Amino acid sequence: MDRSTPILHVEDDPVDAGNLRRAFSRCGILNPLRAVASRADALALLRDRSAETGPRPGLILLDLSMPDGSGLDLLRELKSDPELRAIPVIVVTASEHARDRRSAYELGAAGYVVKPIEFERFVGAVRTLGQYWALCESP
Amino acid sequence: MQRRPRARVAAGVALAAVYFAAGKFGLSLALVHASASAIWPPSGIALAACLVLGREVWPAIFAAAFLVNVTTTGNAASSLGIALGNTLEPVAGAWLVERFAAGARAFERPQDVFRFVALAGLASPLLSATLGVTSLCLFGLASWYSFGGVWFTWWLGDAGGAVVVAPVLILWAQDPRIDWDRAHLAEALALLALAIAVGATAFGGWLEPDEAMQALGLLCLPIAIWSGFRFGPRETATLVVVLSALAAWGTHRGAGPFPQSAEPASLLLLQVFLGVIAVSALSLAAVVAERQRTLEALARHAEALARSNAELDEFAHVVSHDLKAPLRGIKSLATWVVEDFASALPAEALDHLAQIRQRARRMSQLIDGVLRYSRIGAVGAAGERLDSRAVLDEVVESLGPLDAALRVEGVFPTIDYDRTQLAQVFQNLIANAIQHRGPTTGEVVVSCRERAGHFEFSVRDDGVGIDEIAQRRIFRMFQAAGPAGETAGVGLAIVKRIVEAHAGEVSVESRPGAGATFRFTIPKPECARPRGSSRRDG
Repeated sequence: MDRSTPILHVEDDPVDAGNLRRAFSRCGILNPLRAVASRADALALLRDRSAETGPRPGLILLDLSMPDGSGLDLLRELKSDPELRAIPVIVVTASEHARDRRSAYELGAAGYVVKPIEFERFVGAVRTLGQYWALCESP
Repeated sequence: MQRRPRARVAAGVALAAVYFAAGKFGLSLALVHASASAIWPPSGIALAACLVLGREVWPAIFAAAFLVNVTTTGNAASSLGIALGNTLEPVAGAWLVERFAAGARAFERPQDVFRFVALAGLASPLLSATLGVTSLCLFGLASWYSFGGVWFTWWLGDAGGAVVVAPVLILWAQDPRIDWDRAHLAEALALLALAIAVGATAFGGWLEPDEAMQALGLLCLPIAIWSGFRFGPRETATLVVVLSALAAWGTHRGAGPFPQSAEPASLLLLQVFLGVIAVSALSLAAVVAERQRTLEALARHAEALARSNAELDEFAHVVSHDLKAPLRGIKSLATWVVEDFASALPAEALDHLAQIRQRARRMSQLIDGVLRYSRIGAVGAAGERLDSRAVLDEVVESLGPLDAALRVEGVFPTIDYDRTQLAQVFQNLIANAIQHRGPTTGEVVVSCRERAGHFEFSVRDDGVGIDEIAQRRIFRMFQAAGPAGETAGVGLAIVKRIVEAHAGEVSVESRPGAGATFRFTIPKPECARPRGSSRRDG
């Protein structure tokens, strides 16, 4: 995993965003983590190719509940955009619903991780993310 | 029925015209007396009019009945008496049917069909026959000597009109639509053609008259039954009219199985035949229609239930998701404070933070418990034949190394049960026993005994026991007897729900300080309901 490739975290709950950031550092994942709190911000950041935004994220971690629409809608938009389609998306959500899980994979998610309520398990979940990502990058 | 005056007059005139024409036609079939007919369609028309349009149509009936008779006998006085009887009969019949047999909806349920026949077919024509024949005799149009024969013919004719003619008119007036597909239409035409062929053959007199011929009339019965099963009461009533018309036509010509040397006898045979066909077919059609309505209602309810279950599932899911989100925040923030500022905080603050996290964990367990409890909604749906000992062994193995001795006693039977749910019952009871095990020996005993009709499983511990008050609430949600611990207080509630859904019972026996024994029963496979019956349709 290239340590300079940024990771985009789409998450409206600042505590969950903080948990992920802490879990990343606990696991020694040092990639720059960018957090946005809405679908619109996520699309704006991904589509903005100006110099100051830096390189495009190599992985998107996506929460399903968002103030401006479902994360599944964003996932659909990402996968129908020829420029963004190739970026692997891992859904990180509190929803254990089989329907959400199925929809996410049908729309092209590379992985599905349920947010645990214990921070220790969050760390475990982030290790799972790392494995997903490694799978995405392996030929 | 509320109608505008002009429409009511028009309906009355039309009714009178139809009644008059039908009366003239009926009298042309008269066998015993010119005014007493074999089958009297006007009585069916009048009854149907009273039931469909309302009893206030009686003046039209009275006028038409008077005209039919006065133009037949030329005697106004006797015609008034006859018209009075012919009017009272449908008015009284309609009142009785409305009062006791669901009125115009009498053909939707078999019990109403029988009441209709008894009240409007047999009882109310007594009025018309008695008034009519008395009028004939009073004014010398019939001899008192022949009163009995003429009365009987009159009564039978009116009864035939009410039972054969009224149903078809009432049913078509209620629902004149025909929305059959091509296959249904083809079947209807085939049925009609067969009915005409059989009726014409049986009653037409084309075959040599002999004893075997008498049985031919019976062929009408399976045709009427066919209609009753495959079509509704309306079509069946129509078929009965077709068969009756053919039978009456043949008998009138002196052909078919019914003509006898004495005419009243042939009339009686014809009437009995028509009555049997009409009552059998209409009641069967009503049974089939009622069954169809029941099935439709059942399907609607099953659908509503499935929808409601899905909504409930969705609700439980959303509730758990939305309740857990803030909880996760509380726990995370408490964790962050400890992680970031542990060295700066006094011990008491750290203890409070630990309590916040502990209580948040408890809350999250409660939410999980609600979810688990709501997810066993479909309990008892999928049974399979199981070796209960094998399931128990799997559960014990899955529990890992136990800090209590676990002993299994008795012979464990083969049962019909949902595997996952049986494992859940064992697991919850054993976990419960281990959690409350005694400090002395720490022994848990799982045993099974055979009883009449069922097996009784028990899980016994030598722990602190449960007092009587706690025993009463222990199987309810969130009513764990001890201090809030690892279980969320749903384990025993889940046990109770699963056991009862499999037609078993659950109980606890305990004294404080002397351990507790939890028992649950499972019906023996041969005593349980047939396995197929627990499957749900659709």
